[in-house]
Amino acid sequence: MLFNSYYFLIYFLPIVLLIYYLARHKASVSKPESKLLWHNISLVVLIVASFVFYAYDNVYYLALLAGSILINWFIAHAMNSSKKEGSQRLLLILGILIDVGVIFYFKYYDFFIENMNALFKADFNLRHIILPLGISFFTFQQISYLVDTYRGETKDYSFIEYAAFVSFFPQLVAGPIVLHSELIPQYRDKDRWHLTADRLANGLYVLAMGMFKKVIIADKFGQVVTWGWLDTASRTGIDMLLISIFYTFQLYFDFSGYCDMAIGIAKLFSLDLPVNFNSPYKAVSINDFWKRWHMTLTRFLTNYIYIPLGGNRKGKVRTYINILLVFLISGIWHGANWTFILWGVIHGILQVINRMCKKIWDKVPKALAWLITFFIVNLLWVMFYAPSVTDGVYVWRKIFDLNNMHISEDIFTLFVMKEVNTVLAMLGPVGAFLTIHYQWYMIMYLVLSFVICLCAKNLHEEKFKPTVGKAVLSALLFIWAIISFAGVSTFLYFNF
Amino acid sequence: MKRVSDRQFNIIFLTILISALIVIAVVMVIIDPLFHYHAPISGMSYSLNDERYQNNGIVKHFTYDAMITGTSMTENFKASEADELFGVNSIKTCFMGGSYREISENIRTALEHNPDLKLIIRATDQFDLITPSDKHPSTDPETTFDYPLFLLDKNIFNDIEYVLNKSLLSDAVTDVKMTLSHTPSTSFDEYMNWMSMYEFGKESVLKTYSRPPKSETETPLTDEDKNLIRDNLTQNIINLAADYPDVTFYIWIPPYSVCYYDVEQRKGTLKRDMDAMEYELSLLVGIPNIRLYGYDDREDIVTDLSLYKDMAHYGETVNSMILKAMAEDDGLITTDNYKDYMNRVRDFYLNYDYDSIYE
Repeated sequence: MLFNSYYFLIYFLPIVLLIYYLARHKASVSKPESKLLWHNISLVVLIVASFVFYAYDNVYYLALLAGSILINWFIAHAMNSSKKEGSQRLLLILGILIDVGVIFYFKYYDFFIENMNALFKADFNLRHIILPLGISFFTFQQISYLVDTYRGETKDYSFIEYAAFVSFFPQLVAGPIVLHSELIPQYRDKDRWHLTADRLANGLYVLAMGMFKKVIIADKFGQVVTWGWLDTASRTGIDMLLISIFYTFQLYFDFSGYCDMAIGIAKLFSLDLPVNFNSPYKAVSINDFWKRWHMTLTRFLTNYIYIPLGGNRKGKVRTYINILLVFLISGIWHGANWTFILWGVIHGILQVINRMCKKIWDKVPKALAWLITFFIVNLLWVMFYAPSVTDGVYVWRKIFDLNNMHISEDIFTLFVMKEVNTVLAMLGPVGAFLTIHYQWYMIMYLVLSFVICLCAKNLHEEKFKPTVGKAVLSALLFIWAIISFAGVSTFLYFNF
Repeated sequence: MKRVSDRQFNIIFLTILISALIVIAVVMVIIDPLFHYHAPISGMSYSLNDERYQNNGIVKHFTYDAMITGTSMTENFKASEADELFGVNSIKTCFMGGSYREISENIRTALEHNPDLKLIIRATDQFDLITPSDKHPSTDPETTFDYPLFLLDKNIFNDIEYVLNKSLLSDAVTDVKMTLSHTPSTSFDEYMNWMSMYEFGKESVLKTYSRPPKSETETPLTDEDKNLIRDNLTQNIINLAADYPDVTFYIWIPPYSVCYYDVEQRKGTLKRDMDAMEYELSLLVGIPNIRLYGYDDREDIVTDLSLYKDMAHYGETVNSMILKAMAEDDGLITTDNYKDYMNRVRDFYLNYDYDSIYE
């Protein structure tokens, strides 16, 4: 189930919230001896809801999620019960191997076989496995749990708390990657057993803004990006440069919008999820970018790979190797394709160069440093999108081909918003202007995106201050997004 | 900006959100641009512009006693001509690229909802004849198309995709605008008529395809193919006719141009097409309430490329000719004459000088 769907928003979410708070209310008012029972029932409500949420798209993969939770719990439990350091270590290795094995099978099996076939001219069958939703997220989350169990940090959790932590639906399929130490203590915090006005207000606001970012901004960019990449050979250099920038924005508004929705929805359950994006396109260096982009992934990679590898404590050369390794793993994690690996490795190399030349880089004027950083990040997203390295390189070359500076007409028309035209037509001259000069839609999208990315405060930067304007604006944007969930399909097969 | 308490924020936000969603949904149910809930409001103008979204509502709620249906080969029909020729009050609900099943589901819905319906004029396309009887765009992996299933079932919960849908809301706004400017509703002459959108003639036709190389082998019509045809026709035409014996079905085969059969003969499938057509006719003749018509023997149509926009699609002149012919029983195929008809068609296409098209 997607957050941006009618079923989720109009039916699923209100019903689950209602049942959850009924159970929580019972937990609050019941006698001490039945408090734990009602606490557990509240969490079971969350687990059942999360399972329904997950099974909605593919019921078979629910078994995978449930199985993964059970196995990791048993391994963690065995580690906690075991007194011997050696067997704890063995269990940890076993657990990580299982988790990595599962993710390898579902995500990388075909990629691995394809490359083996290419390398050895063999002909092993591909399995065309459909990637289970969120597997990359809940596997990493459980690996961190196993490591923390090994470190003795998870002694007193119950199975229900663990299952409710891993499966908690707002963060299940696309992050943020939450740690047990962030979520489970909140489940137990009695202050969070009822919905307060400030959490509701903050939750609604963040959910509405996230929905707007995803549905109205990102999906529009997405349409143009899909069109652009359909036939890169027919596009001009300037087309592909624009399309690369559109994708840069699409990715940010899509992913951060989804995380905002997750954070907003969690707040409606009186739970705080960690912030995942801190205005990443304000970054003035690659190093800075990775402190702002997908922060919970960076945190995971830092705490569970970079630091155990020795971090920066073993001399410069080892530090650089560790950085490169982390980015290689990050590239692989992002998808089973050489494009992601190349994307990760280049980011790693740039990160190392960034560190080596820190003194020089610090002297570069901020505006120039921002421009260079944005441009590099933008170019690397091209490889992230490309279906193959060859395609990615082709588009890179195209972007630097300045011979044809003509912008394709389709780019402009794809940005036109029928509903805005309809509304503006009622307002007179502005509408007439936009109808005639429809090219402004693209320019407005670009300007608006730059303004949001560079000037707007991060939604999560400070305590939420409600105003009338925010209430009206966010409610209207939310409505706009909701009525945009289903379009009208066009029948593309125009023959007979 | 005026600071408010969290409580006030929530009241403002939720009041706007909930009331706006309710107002939008109520407006959609009242105007109902897809006729999902009721017939057009009298005095209100409606734009007809999307077959797959509107045909279901049209057959359920309009007042009519005859319907014209089929694929894009029927979109240029003018309902007013049928009304005059057959003395009926007809609607036109075509499905561009529609499968046999999709079209027959629409007919069945019409028959279930409208006891007055007595005459159905339906084209059966040859290109889709040898296909599984259940082929439907909602399940066909070849169509990148999200079918509006919410229209077809009785589940009211998924109607939310209709009543809170920006594009359909904008259709409702168009209907209101049309009404205010006294623009009449789209007629069934105009509905999905694509005549003005294309260039016709030999030059245009030849631009739309490239002649394939001559195949060395002939593909025969297999028993498996015949089973597909039989199942397709039984489920989607014969059973319908049997279930509604009082309704007359005018079933006819749209005449594609010689270019279509040129491509078929180059691919080595022309004989297979002819055998398939003959098998189809043999299954449909002799059914009391099916009147069967064919025009593939009309050389004046199929060789005159000025009537076509591509190898298959003819312009509205041909639609008018066919309608008139059917009303006069010209081109009627019966148990007695179907073999002769097929011999003529077979003879013509197997011996036609296809190279002459390109001279």
